Amino acid sequence: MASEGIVVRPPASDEELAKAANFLVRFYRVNEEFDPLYTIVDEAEPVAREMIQRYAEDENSILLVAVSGKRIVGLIHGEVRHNPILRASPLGVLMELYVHPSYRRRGVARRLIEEAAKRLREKGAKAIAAEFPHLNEIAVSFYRDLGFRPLTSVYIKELEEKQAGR
Amino acid sequence: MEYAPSITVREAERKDSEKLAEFVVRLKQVNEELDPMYMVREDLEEAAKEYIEKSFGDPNVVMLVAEAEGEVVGMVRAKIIDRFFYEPRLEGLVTDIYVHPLYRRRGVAKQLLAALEKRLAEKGINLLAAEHPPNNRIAEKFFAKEGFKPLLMRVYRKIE
Repeated sequence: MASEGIVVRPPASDEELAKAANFLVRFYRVNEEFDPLYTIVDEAEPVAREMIQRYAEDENSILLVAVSGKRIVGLIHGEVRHNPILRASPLGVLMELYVHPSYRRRGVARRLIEEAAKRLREKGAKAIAAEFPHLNEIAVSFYRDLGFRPLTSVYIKELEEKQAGR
Repeated sequence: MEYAPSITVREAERKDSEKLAEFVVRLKQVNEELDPMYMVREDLEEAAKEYIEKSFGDPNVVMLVAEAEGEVVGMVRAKIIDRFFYEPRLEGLVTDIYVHPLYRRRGVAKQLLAALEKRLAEKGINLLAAEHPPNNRIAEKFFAKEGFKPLLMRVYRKIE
């Protein structure tokens, strides 16, 4: 199955922004499974709406949806990140990517990444990176297949809470 | 390590229904991410409530919950299956096991399994099984660590 008939472009209406927010929540719900530090807030939908609005307006961000007919089937958000000491700066970083389960396995994510990469390059990005939970092995093999290699490792630990009766 | 309240495991009761259904929904939504053939139905929430309700009325189902400070933070549901051709005849099959993300990485699922095992042993069952999508690596690693081994492969194809 190919991704023909899939159009990748920025969301074009409030309705599409709402759908994008829904996909953003779904994306974070998947991440939630990988580590307690990915636990999302109780009322995630309105928060996601605000995030999507910000992504759509922010000059350093790109927000794209994959559309099949009139249906939104995928979402990608990335940003350009600056570190002036590095020759590779700015970097284009893909932070959220989601394809609806019924549109998987037909290259929609690949199309989203290609278009995102193109637009991040137009914003000056010299290389493209993707961030995802360390334990997400599906993402690991997906990005490896697309020619990405591991670059940064993020290690994390909780900060101790105030000693309460201990 | 951050503050970790102690976890207790007990038999599920009807007052837990809402939480049980919520966890079943979350679990099926995880599966949905793993393969298009796990696409959930539109009325998933209703279905989960019905599933829990039926489970309470089924003598062949065991449901336990994990509690932290009076709140339900995890659940396990097992169904007793007659293996018919094989000895031992009965197995307890874990159909659903879920721990709220905030309570992960502190052995809650392990505790749920241990309590389930005890409960099944009381019923004279000495075989424990679990099922999960093949590409759920987290589940795969968890069950392997808990001493499970693959015994059944189920394959699917669509009828065109």
